[in-house]
Amino acid sequence: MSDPANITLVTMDGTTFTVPSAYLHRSKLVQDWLRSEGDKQAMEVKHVTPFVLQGVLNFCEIHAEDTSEPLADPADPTKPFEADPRDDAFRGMPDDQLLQFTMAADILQIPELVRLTAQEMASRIDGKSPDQIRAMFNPDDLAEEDVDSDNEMGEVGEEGAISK
Amino acid sequence: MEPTKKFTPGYLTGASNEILFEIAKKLLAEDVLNFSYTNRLLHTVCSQDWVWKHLCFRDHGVNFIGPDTSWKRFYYSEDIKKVCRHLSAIDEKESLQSLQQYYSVALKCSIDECNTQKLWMCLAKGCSVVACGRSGDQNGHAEQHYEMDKEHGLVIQIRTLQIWCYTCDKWIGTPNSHPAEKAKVNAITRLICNTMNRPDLQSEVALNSRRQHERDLEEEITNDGKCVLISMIWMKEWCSFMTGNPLPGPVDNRSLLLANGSVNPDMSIPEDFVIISMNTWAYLEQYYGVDGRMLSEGALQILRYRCCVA
Repeated sequence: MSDPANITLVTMDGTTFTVPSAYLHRSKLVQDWLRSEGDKQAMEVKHVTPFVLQGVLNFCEIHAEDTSEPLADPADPTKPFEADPRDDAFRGMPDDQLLQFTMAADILQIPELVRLTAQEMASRIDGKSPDQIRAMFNPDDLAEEDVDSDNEMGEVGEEGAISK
Repeated sequence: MEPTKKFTPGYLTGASNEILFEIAKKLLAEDVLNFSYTNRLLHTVCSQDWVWKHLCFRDHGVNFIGPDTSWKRFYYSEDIKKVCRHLSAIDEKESLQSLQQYYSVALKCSIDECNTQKLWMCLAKGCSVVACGRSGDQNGHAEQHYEMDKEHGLVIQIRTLQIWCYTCDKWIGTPNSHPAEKAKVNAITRLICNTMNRPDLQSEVALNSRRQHERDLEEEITNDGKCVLISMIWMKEWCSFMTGNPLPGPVDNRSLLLANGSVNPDMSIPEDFVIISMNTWAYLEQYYGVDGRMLSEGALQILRYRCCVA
Protein backbone atom coordinates (compact mmCIF):
# COMPACT_ATOMS: atom_id res chain seq x y z
CA MET A 1 0.00 0.00 0.00
CA SER A 2 1.46 3.37 -0.97
CA ASP A 3 1.45 6.29 1.43
CA PRO A 4 -1.28 8.89 1.00
CA ALA A 5 -0.28 12.28 -0.43
CA ASN A 6 -1.44 14.13 2.65
CA ILE A 7 -1.75 13.37 6.32
CA THR A 8 -4.17 15.01 8.72
CA LEU A 9 -3.19 15.41 12.35
CA VAL A 10 -5.61 16.34 15.14
CA THR A 11 -4.39 17.96 18.36
CA MET A 12 -5.77 17.65 21.88
CA ASP A 13 -8.38 20.38 21.33
CA GLY A 14 -9.59 19.16 17.93
CA THR A 15 -7.57 21.53 15.69
CA THR A 16 -6.59 19.79 12.47
CA PHE A 17 -3.47 20.16 10.34
CA THR A 18 -3.15 18.65 6.88
CA VAL A 19 0.38 18.37 5.51
CA PRO A 20 2.12 16.43 2.71
CA SER A 21 3.03 13.00 4.09
CA ALA A 22 6.61 13.52 2.92
CA TYR A 23 7.03 16.03 5.77
CA LEU A 24 6.52 13.29 8.33
CA HIS A 25 8.78 10.55 6.98
CA ARG A 26 11.08 10.95 10.01
CA SER A 27 8.27 10.56 12.55
CA LYS A 28 8.26 6.97 13.73
CA LEU A 29 4.83 7.44 15.29
CA VAL A 30 3.30 8.54 11.97
CA GLN A 31 5.08 5.82 10.00
CA ASP A 32 3.85 3.15 12.41
CA TRP A 33 0.35 4.56 12.15
CA LEU A 34 0.48 4.45 8.34
CA ARG A 35 1.49 0.82 8.45
CA SER A 36 -1.16 -0.11 11.02
CA GLU A 37 -4.64 -1.41 10.27
CA GLY A 38 -7.76 0.72 10.37
CA ASP A 39 -9.07 4.14 9.57
CA LYS A 40 -6.52 6.55 8.07
CA GLN A 41 -8.71 9.67 8.03
CA ALA A 42 -6.82 11.59 10.70
CA MET A 43 -4.24 10.81 13.31
CA GLU A 44 -4.80 11.98 16.84
CA VAL A 45 -1.83 13.62 18.52
CA LYS A 46 -2.97 13.95 22.09
CA HIS A 47 -0.94 15.98 24.55
CA VAL A 48 0.27 18.42 21.89
CA THR A 49 -1.15 21.95 21.62
CA PRO A 50 -1.93 23.47 18.18
CA PHE A 51 0.84 26.04 18.63
CA VAL A 52 3.45 23.40 19.33
CA LEU A 53 2.25 21.07 16.57
CA GLN A 54 2.46 23.98 14.13
CA GLY A 55 6.06 24.55 15.19
CA VAL A 56 6.91 20.86 14.85
CA LEU A 57 5.37 20.76 11.37
CA ASN A 58 7.41 23.85 10.42
CA PHE A 59 10.53 21.96 11.48
CA CYS A 60 9.41 18.95 9.43
CA GLU A 61 8.76 21.12 6.38
CA ILE A 62 12.19 22.78 6.62
CA HIS A 63 13.85 19.37 6.87
CA ALA A 64 11.58 17.45 4.47
CA GLU A 65 14.23 17.55 1.73
CA ASP A 66 17.14 16.59 4.02
CA THR A 67 19.03 13.63 2.68
CA SER A 68 20.91 12.78 5.88
CA GLU A 69 20.49 9.24 7.10
CA PRO A 70 17.73 8.83 9.69
CA LEU A 71 19.09 9.09 13.21
CA ALA A 72 18.62 5.84 15.10
CA ASP A 73 19.75 7.11 18.50
CA PRO A 74 19.40 10.82 19.35
CA ALA A 75 22.38 10.49 21.73
CA ASP A 76 24.68 8.56 19.39
CA PRO A 77 28.15 9.80 20.47
CA THR A 78 29.61 9.00 17.04
CA LYS A 79 27.29 11.54 15.39
CA PRO A 80 28.04 14.86 17.07
CA PHE A 81 25.36 17.49 17.00
CA GLU A 82 25.89 20.39 14.60
CA ALA A 83 23.77 23.50 14.92
CA ASP A 84 21.70 24.22 11.80
CA PRO A 85 20.90 27.92 11.17
CA ARG A 86 17.47 26.85 9.90
CA ASP A 87 16.62 25.79 13.46
CA ASP A 88 17.43 29.12 15.11
CA ALA A 89 13.77 29.50 16.14
CA PHE A 90 14.41 26.94 18.89
CA ARG A 91 17.33 28.89 20.27
CA GLY A 92 15.37 32.02 21.15
CA MET A 93 12.40 30.14 22.58
CA PRO A 94 11.32 30.52 26.24
CA ASP A 95 12.26 27.57 28.47
CA ASP A 96 8.76 26.22 29.04
CA GLN A 97 7.96 26.38 25.32
CA LEU A 98 11.16 24.58 24.45
CA LEU A 99 10.18 21.88 26.91
CA GLN A 100 6.82 21.46 25.17
CA PHE A 101 8.59 21.04 21.84
CA THR A 102 10.95 18.50 23.37
CA MET A 103 7.98 16.51 24.63
CA ALA A 104 6.18 16.79 21.28
CA ALA A 105 9.29 15.54 19.50
CA ASP A 106 9.27 12.57 21.84
CA ILE A 107 5.56 11.88 21.31
CA LEU A 108 5.87 12.04 17.52
CA GLN A 109 9.16 10.12 17.74
CA ILE A 110 11.23 12.37 15.51
CA PRO A 111 14.83 11.58 16.57
CA GLU A 112 16.31 14.62 14.81
CA LEU A 113 13.98 16.98 16.68
CA VAL A 114 14.55 15.10 19.95
CA ARG A 115 18.27 15.63 19.55
CA LEU A 116 17.90 19.30 18.65
CA THR A 117 15.55 20.18 21.53
CA ALA A 118 17.30 17.99 24.12
CA GLN A 119 20.61 19.55 23.10
CA GLU A 120 19.17 23.04 23.49
CA MET A 121 17.67 22.11 26.88
CA ALA A 122 21.01 20.70 27.97
CA SER A 123 22.88 23.86 26.96
CA ARG A 124 20.46 25.91 29.08
CA ILE A 125 20.91 23.62 32.11
CA ASP A 126 24.68 23.67 31.62
CA GLY A 127 26.47 25.20 34.60
CA LYS A 128 23.33 25.95 36.64
CA SER A 129 22.79 25.00 40.28
CA PRO A 130 19.75 22.89 41.24
CA ASP A 131 17.99 26.08 42.43
CA GLN A 132 18.63 27.81 39.13
CA ILE A 133 17.34 24.77 37.24
CA ARG A 134 14.18 24.78 39.38
CA ALA A 135 13.66 28.44 38.54
CA MET A 136 13.90 27.68 34.82
CA PHE A 137 10.85 25.47 34.91
CA ASN A 138 7.72 25.57 36.99
CA PRO A 139 8.81 26.11 40.59
CA ASP A 140 5.67 24.43 42.00
CA ASP A 141 6.25 21.43 39.85
CA LEU A 142 9.87 21.12 40.81
CA ALA A 143 9.51 21.50 44.55
CA GLU A 144 12.64 20.68 46.47
CA GLU A 145 12.39 17.16 47.70
CA ASP A 146 14.38 15.19 50.14
CA VAL A 147 17.19 14.23 47.85
CA ASP A 148 20.14 13.99 50.15
CA SER A 149 22.73 15.53 47.92
CA ASP A 150 25.36 15.80 50.65
CA ASN A 151 25.25 12.11 51.24
CA GLU A 152 25.67 11.38 47.61
CA MET A 153 28.59 13.69 47.09
CA GLY A 154 30.47 11.41 49.44
CA GLU A 155 29.50 8.50 47.29
CA VAL A 156 30.83 9.85 44.01
CA GLY A 157 33.76 11.80 45.39
CA GLU A 158 34.70 15.42 45.26
CA GLU A 159 34.82 15.74 41.50
CA GLY A 160 31.07 16.22 41.14
CA ALA A 161 30.71 19.69 42.52
CA ILE A 162 27.22 20.84 43.28
CA SER A 163 27.74 24.43 42.27
CA LYS A 164 30.23 26.39 40.30
CA MET B 1 4.45 9.00 27.32
CA GLU B 2 4.02 7.00 30.49
CA PRO B 3 0.32 6.25 31.00
CA THR B 4 0.49 6.79 34.77
CA LYS B 5 2.05 10.21 34.49
CA LYS B 6 -0.24 13.22 34.55
CA PHE B 7 0.42 15.35 31.51
CA THR B 8 0.85 19.07 31.94
CA PRO B 9 2.52 20.99 29.13
CA GLY B 10 5.52 23.02 30.20
CA TYR B 11 6.17 20.99 33.32
CA LEU B 12 9.45 19.14 33.35
CA THR B 13 8.05 16.28 35.41
CA GLY B 14 5.37 15.77 32.75
CA ALA B 15 8.04 14.76 30.24
CA SER B 16 8.59 11.08 29.59
CA ASN B 17 11.59 9.37 31.10
CA GLU B 18 12.98 8.93 27.60
CA ILE B 19 13.11 12.69 27.10
CA LEU B 20 14.71 13.25 30.49
CA PHE B 21 17.29 10.62 29.57
CA GLU B 22 17.97 12.37 26.29
CA ILE B 23 18.54 15.67 28.08
CA ALA B 24 20.70 14.06 30.78
CA LYS B 25 22.86 12.31 28.19
CA LYS B 26 23.75 15.66 26.64
CA LEU B 27 24.85 17.27 29.90
CA LEU B 28 28.32 17.35 31.40
CA ALA B 29 28.60 14.88 34.28
CA GLU B 30 28.66 17.71 36.80
CA ASP B 31 25.44 19.13 35.35
CA VAL B 32 23.80 15.70 35.42
CA LEU B 33 24.39 15.72 39.19
CA ASN B 34 22.93 19.21 39.56
CA PHE B 35 20.00 18.24 37.34
CA SER B 36 19.43 15.20 39.53
CA TYR B 37 19.34 17.26 42.72
CA THR B 38 16.43 19.33 41.41
CA ASN B 39 13.83 16.83 42.53
CA ARG B 40 13.14 13.22 43.30
CA LEU B 41 11.94 12.20 39.85
CA LEU B 42 14.97 13.69 38.17
CA HIS B 43 17.18 12.09 40.75
CA THR B 44 15.75 8.68 39.91
CA VAL B 45 16.11 9.29 36.18
CA CYS B 46 19.64 10.69 36.40
CA SER B 47 20.87 7.87 38.59
CA GLN B 48 19.91 5.22 36.05
CA ASP B 49 22.74 3.03 34.91
CA TRP B 50 22.30 3.77 31.24
CA VAL B 51 22.70 7.52 31.67
CA TRP B 52 26.07 6.93 33.35
CA LYS B 53 26.99 4.15 30.97
CA HIS B 54 26.49 6.65 28.19
CA LEU B 55 28.64 9.22 29.99
CA CYS B 56 31.40 6.66 30.66
CA PHE B 57 31.63 5.95 26.95
CA ARG B 58 31.19 9.55 25.83
CA ASP B 59 33.75 11.03 28.22
CA HIS B 60 36.16 8.15 28.85
CA GLY B 61 35.66 5.87 25.84
CA VAL B 62 34.89 2.92 28.12
CA ASN B 63 31.79 0.77 27.61
CA PHE B 64 32.56 -2.17 29.90
CA ILE B 65 32.41 -2.44 33.66
CA GLY B 66 33.51 -4.79 36.42
CA PRO B 67 31.34 -6.45 39.06
CA ASP B 68 30.48 -4.78 42.39
CA THR B 69 30.25 -1.23 41.10
CA SER B 70 27.78 1.05 39.35
CA TRP B 71 28.38 3.03 36.17
CA LYS B 72 28.11 6.22 38.22
CA ARG B 73 30.77 5.13 40.70
CA PHE B 74 32.92 3.83 37.86
CA TYR B 75 32.62 7.19 36.08
CA TYR B 76 34.19 9.00 39.02
CA SER B 77 36.73 6.34 39.90
CA GLU B 78 40.41 6.64 39.02
CA ASP B 79 40.22 3.16 37.54
CA ILE B 80 38.28 4.26 34.49
CA LYS B 81 41.34 6.17 33.31
CA LYS B 82 43.55 3.12 33.77
CA VAL B 83 41.65 0.44 31.87
CA CYS B 84 42.42 -0.24 28.22
CA ARG B 85 39.62 1.70 26.58
CA HIS B 86 40.45 0.14 23.21
CA LEU B 87 38.60 -2.94 24.45
CA SER B 88 35.37 -0.97 24.05
CA ALA B 89 35.49 -1.58 20.31
CA ILE B 90 35.74 -5.36 20.70
CA ASP B 91 32.71 -7.46 19.96
CA GLU B 92 32.96 -10.87 21.65
CA LYS B 93 30.80 -12.64 19.08
CA GLU B 94 32.77 -11.28 16.14
CA SER B 95 36.07 -12.30 17.74
CA LEU B 96 34.67 -15.77 18.26
CA GLN B 97 33.56 -16.09 14.64
CA SER B 98 36.96 -14.96 13.34
CA LEU B 99 38.76 -17.47 15.54
CA GLN B 100 36.42 -20.27 14.53
CA GLN B 101 37.11 -19.48 10.90
CA TYR B 102 40.81 -19.38 11.59
CA TYR B 103 40.86 -22.82 13.17
CA SER B 104 39.14 -24.24 10.10
CA VAL B 105 41.69 -22.85 7.61
CA ALA B 106 45.13 -21.32 7.98
CA LEU B 107 47.95 -22.04 10.37
CA LYS B 108 50.45 -19.50 9.09
CA CYS B 109 51.13 -15.82 9.45
CA SER B 110 48.98 -14.32 6.72
CA ILE B 111 51.31 -11.38 6.11
CA ASP B 112 54.42 -13.24 5.01
CA GLU B 113 53.54 -16.91 5.54
CA CYS B 114 56.03 -17.12 8.41
CA ASN B 115 56.29 -20.65 9.63
CA THR B 116 55.57 -20.14 13.30
CA GLN B 117 52.91 -21.40 15.62
CA LYS B 118 52.94 -18.36 17.86
CA LEU B 119 50.31 -16.43 15.99
CA TRP B 120 48.14 -13.48 16.86
CA MET B 121 44.83 -12.36 15.46
CA CYS B 122 43.90 -8.70 15.11
CA LEU B 123 40.71 -7.93 17.02
CA ALA B 124 39.78 -4.74 15.15
CA LYS B 125 36.27 -4.79 13.71
CA GLY B 126 36.07 -6.66 10.43
CA CYS B 127 39.85 -7.27 10.31
CA SER B 128 40.89 -10.65 11.83
CA VAL B 129 44.32 -10.57 10.16
CA VAL B 130 46.54 -13.35 11.51
CA ALA B 131 50.21 -12.48 12.03
CA CYS B 132 53.27 -13.57 13.96
CA GLY B 133 54.51 -11.82 17.09
CA ARG B 134 57.86 -10.20 17.79
CA SER B 135 59.55 -12.51 20.28
CA GLY B 136 62.11 -15.22 19.55
CA ASP B 137 62.11 -16.58 16.02
CA GLN B 138 59.16 -14.46 14.89
CA ASN B 139 59.12 -11.54 12.50
CA GLY B 140 56.83 -9.12 14.31
CA HIS B 141 54.26 -8.88 11.55
CA ALA B 142 51.45 -8.29 14.04
CA GLU B 143 53.26 -5.16 15.21
CA GLN B 144 53.84 -4.04 11.62
CA HIS B 145 50.14 -4.49 10.99
CA TYR B 146 49.45 -2.17 13.95
CA GLU B 147 52.02 0.38 12.75
CA MET B 148 50.14 0.63 9.44
CA ASP B 149 46.85 1.39 11.17
CA LYS B 150 46.96 2.44 14.82
CA GLU B 151 43.30 1.52 15.26
CA HIS B 152 44.37 -2.13 15.08
CA GLY B 153 46.16 -2.24 18.44
CA LEU B 154 44.46 -5.17 20.13
CA VAL B 155 45.57 -8.67 19.24
CA ILE B 156 44.70 -12.08 20.68
CA GLN B 157 47.21 -14.89 20.87
CA ILE B 158 45.52 -17.76 19.09
CA ARG B 159 47.03 -20.58 21.09
CA THR B 160 46.42 -19.12 24.57
CA LEU B 161 43.78 -16.39 24.05
CA GLN B 162 45.99 -13.86 25.86
CA ILE B 163 45.31 -10.31 24.72
CA TRP B 164 47.96 -7.66 24.07
CA CYS B 165 47.36 -3.98 23.35
CA TYR B 166 50.06 -2.30 21.23
CA THR B 167 48.64 1.15 22.01
CA CYS B 168 48.72 0.63 25.80
CA ASP B 169 51.87 -1.52 25.35
CA LYS B 170 50.75 -4.16 27.85
CA TRP B 171 48.95 -7.43 28.41
CA ILE B 172 45.23 -6.87 28.86
CA GLY B 173 42.93 -8.50 31.41
CA THR B 174 45.67 -10.05 33.55
CA PRO B 175 45.18 -10.89 37.23
CA ASN B 176 46.59 -7.45 38.13
CA SER B 177 44.34 -5.53 35.74
CA HIS B 178 41.36 -3.50 36.87
CA PRO B 179 38.20 -5.62 37.49
CA ALA B 180 36.39 -4.04 34.53
CA GLU B 181 39.17 -4.97 32.14
CA LYS B 182 39.36 -8.48 33.59
CA ALA B 183 35.60 -8.94 33.33
CA LYS B 184 35.59 -7.90 29.67
CA VAL B 185 38.53 -10.14 28.74
CA ASN B 186 37.09 -13.05 30.73
CA ALA B 187 33.82 -12.66 28.86
CA ILE B 188 35.68 -12.90 25.54
CA THR B 189 37.79 -15.92 26.48
CA ARG B 190 34.91 -17.70 28.20
CA LEU B 191 32.68 -17.30 25.15
CA ILE B 192 35.43 -18.61 22.87
CA CYS B 193 36.31 -21.55 25.14
CA ASN B 194 32.71 -22.57 25.76
CA THR B 195 31.69 -22.38 22.11
CA MET B 196 34.76 -23.91 20.51
CA ASN B 197 34.78 -26.86 22.91
CA ARG B 198 38.51 -27.50 22.60
CA PRO B 199 40.04 -28.96 25.78
CA ASP B 200 43.56 -28.01 24.65
CA LEU B 201 42.54 -24.36 24.38
CA GLN B 202 40.89 -24.45 27.79
CA SER B 203 43.97 -25.85 29.48
CA GLU B 204 46.12 -23.16 27.81
CA VAL B 205 43.75 -20.43 29.01
CA ALA B 206 43.94 -21.88 32.51
CA LEU B 207 47.71 -21.30 32.43
CA ASN B 208 47.42 -17.61 31.49
CA SER B 209 47.34 -16.21 35.00
CA ARG B 210 50.42 -18.29 35.80
CA ARG B 211 52.10 -16.86 32.69
CA GLN B 212 51.40 -13.32 33.84
CA HIS B 213 52.59 -14.06 37.37
CA GLU B 214 55.87 -15.42 36.02
CA ARG B 215 56.30 -12.47 33.64
CA ASP B 216 56.05 -10.18 36.68
CA LEU B 217 58.54 -12.38 38.52
CA GLU B 218 60.98 -12.30 35.62
CA GLU B 219 61.03 -8.51 35.71
CA GLU B 220 61.70 -8.46 39.44
CA ILE B 221 65.03 -6.86 40.18
CA THR B 222 67.44 -8.51 42.56
CA ASN B 223 67.74 -6.17 45.50
CA ASP B 224 68.84 -8.38 48.35
CA GLY B 225 72.29 -8.99 46.88
CA LYS B 226 71.68 -12.71 46.71
CA CYS B 227 71.66 -13.93 43.16
CA VAL B 228 71.21 -17.23 41.43
CA LEU B 229 72.44 -18.26 38.00
CA ILE B 230 70.08 -19.78 35.47
CA SER B 231 71.18 -21.45 32.28
CA MET B 232 70.14 -19.49 29.22
CA ILE B 233 68.95 -22.69 27.58
CA TRP B 234 66.35 -23.23 30.29
CA MET B 235 65.59 -19.50 30.48
CA LYS B 236 64.61 -19.46 26.80
CA GLU B 237 62.18 -22.32 27.32
CA TRP B 238 60.68 -20.53 30.28
CA CYS B 239 60.29 -17.29 28.29
CA SER B 240 58.61 -19.11 25.47
CA PHE B 241 56.12 -20.57 27.96
CA MET B 242 55.31 -17.06 29.15
CA THR B 243 54.58 -15.99 25.58
CA GLY B 244 52.38 -18.99 24.90
CA ASN B 245 54.35 -22.22 24.48
CA PRO B 246 54.07 -25.39 26.61
CA LEU B 247 55.53 -25.59 30.11
CA PRO B 248 59.26 -26.40 30.32
CA GLY B 249 60.62 -29.24 32.45
CA PRO B 250 62.62 -28.82 35.68
CA VAL B 251 65.25 -26.08 35.91
CA ASP B 252 68.39 -27.50 34.34
CA ASN B 253 71.76 -25.80 34.89
CA ARG B 254 73.96 -28.61 33.64
CA SER B 255 75.05 -26.58 30.62
CA LEU B 256 76.88 -24.29 33.05
CA LEU B 257 78.96 -27.09 34.58
CA LEU B 258 82.14 -28.83 33.58
CA ALA B 259 82.35 -32.61 33.45
CA ASN B 260 83.76 -32.71 37.01
CA GLY B 261 80.73 -30.81 38.36
CA SER B 262 82.40 -27.45 38.93
CA VAL B 263 81.17 -24.21 37.32
CA ASN B 264 82.56 -23.62 33.86
CA PRO B 265 84.60 -20.39 34.13
CA ASP B 266 84.31 -19.64 30.40
CA MET B 267 80.78 -18.28 30.43
CA SER B 268 79.25 -14.89 29.96
CA ILE B 269 76.02 -12.95 30.44
CA PRO B 270 73.65 -13.18 28.70
CA GLU B 271 74.86 -15.72 26.14
CA ASP B 272 75.15 -18.59 28.61
CA PHE B 273 73.30 -17.58 31.74
CA VAL B 274 71.23 -14.88 33.42
CA ILE B 275 70.89 -13.81 37.02
CA ILE B 276 67.63 -14.03 38.95
CA SER B 277 66.64 -13.20 42.52
CA MET B 278 66.43 -15.70 45.36
CA ASN B 279 62.72 -15.09 45.44
CA THR B 280 62.34 -16.09 41.79
CA TRP B 281 64.55 -19.12 42.36
CA ALA B 282 62.38 -20.25 45.23
CA TYR B 283 59.35 -19.97 42.98
CA LEU B 284 60.98 -21.93 40.16
CA GLU B 285 62.13 -24.59 42.58
CA GLN B 286 58.61 -24.98 43.92
CA TYR B 287 56.73 -24.98 40.61
CA TYR B 288 59.20 -26.53 38.17
CA GLY B 289 61.59 -28.52 40.36
CA VAL B 290 65.36 -28.48 39.90
CA ASP B 291 67.53 -30.93 38.03
CA GLY B 292 70.96 -30.60 39.63
CA ARG B 293 71.89 -27.94 42.12
CA MET B 294 71.54 -24.23 42.75
CA LEU B 295 74.38 -22.08 41.44
CA SER B 296 74.66 -19.00 43.58
CA GLU B 297 76.92 -16.21 44.77
CA GLY B 298 80.12 -18.27 45.06
CA ALA B 299 79.93 -19.26 41.43
CA LEU B 300 79.14 -15.68 40.54
CA GLN B 301 82.37 -14.39 42.13
CA ILE B 302 84.48 -16.34 39.71
CA LEU B 303 82.37 -15.22 36.79
CA ARG B 304 82.37 -11.57 37.79
CA TYR B 305 86.12 -11.69 37.66
CA ARG B 306 85.98 -13.24 34.22
CA CYS B 307 83.52 -10.58 33.04
CA CYS B 308 85.91 -7.81 34.12
CA VAL B 309 88.84 -9.38 32.36
CA ALA B 310 86.79 -9.78 29.20
